[in-house]
Amino acid sequence: MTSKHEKLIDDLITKTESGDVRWGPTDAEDQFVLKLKSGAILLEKTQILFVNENFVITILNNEGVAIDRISLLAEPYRSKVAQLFNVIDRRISRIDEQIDEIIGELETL
Amino acid sequence: MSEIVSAVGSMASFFGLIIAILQIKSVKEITIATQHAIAETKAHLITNISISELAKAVKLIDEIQTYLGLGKYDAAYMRLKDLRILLVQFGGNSQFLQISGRENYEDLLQNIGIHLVNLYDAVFKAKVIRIAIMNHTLENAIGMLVAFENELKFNGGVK
Repeated sequence: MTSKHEKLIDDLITKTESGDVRWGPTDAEDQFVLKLKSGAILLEKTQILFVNENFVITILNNEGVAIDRISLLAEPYRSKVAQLFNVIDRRISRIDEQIDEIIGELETL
Repeated sequence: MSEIVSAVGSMASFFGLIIAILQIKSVKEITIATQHAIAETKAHLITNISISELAKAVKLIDEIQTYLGLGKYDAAYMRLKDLRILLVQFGGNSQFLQISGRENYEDLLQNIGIHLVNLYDAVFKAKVIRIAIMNHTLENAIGMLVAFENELKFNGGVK
């Protein structure tokens, strides 16, 4: 992983947490896409030997060609990306909104 | 006598000049008409080639959908790569972009790129993929291709 990759991941985390970018689901499970004018980023959770979680970031150019792939095994980026994946997953699944709705309903009872 | 000869010579030169001017004008008109005919033929040829390429792309999509349905992801992957190349070529056509919309076109290319990544993993890493989403992308592609084909066939392209 290069310093450019590290900057990309840091920027993705910052922009995702601030809500400036919108991730979406794809045709594969445990995979999200961020589409930009200059290309797209795929973030995927995989498993090694069905035990250890791993995260893979694939970078596509604006013609949809995969130009780079980062396998994130080393810390601290593994934990950072795991957190990013979790944030995206919760937003797309609307988990927090659903919990809020349940809490709201419980309060009215 | 020499004056008469001179006068006849002058008259002949004058008429010769007029004939030359008329011939030059005629040649110019023929050249313009020829250039116009060449341009028209070229445009027709390009239109015919485009229609043929569009039909090829639609056929590829049909094949990809069939392969996906049969679970033959390796064949679907190869055809999808061919489709992307054709779509990139169409992207060089301003009429195609005008009809499809640049944003829709770029979104389509990105989606196809994502499907290629996942199809590759489905072939080599047994990744589970959702075919319905791929089919949705392919249906969008057909919509774009058919709209452009209709434009070429029935309206002769965007003016």
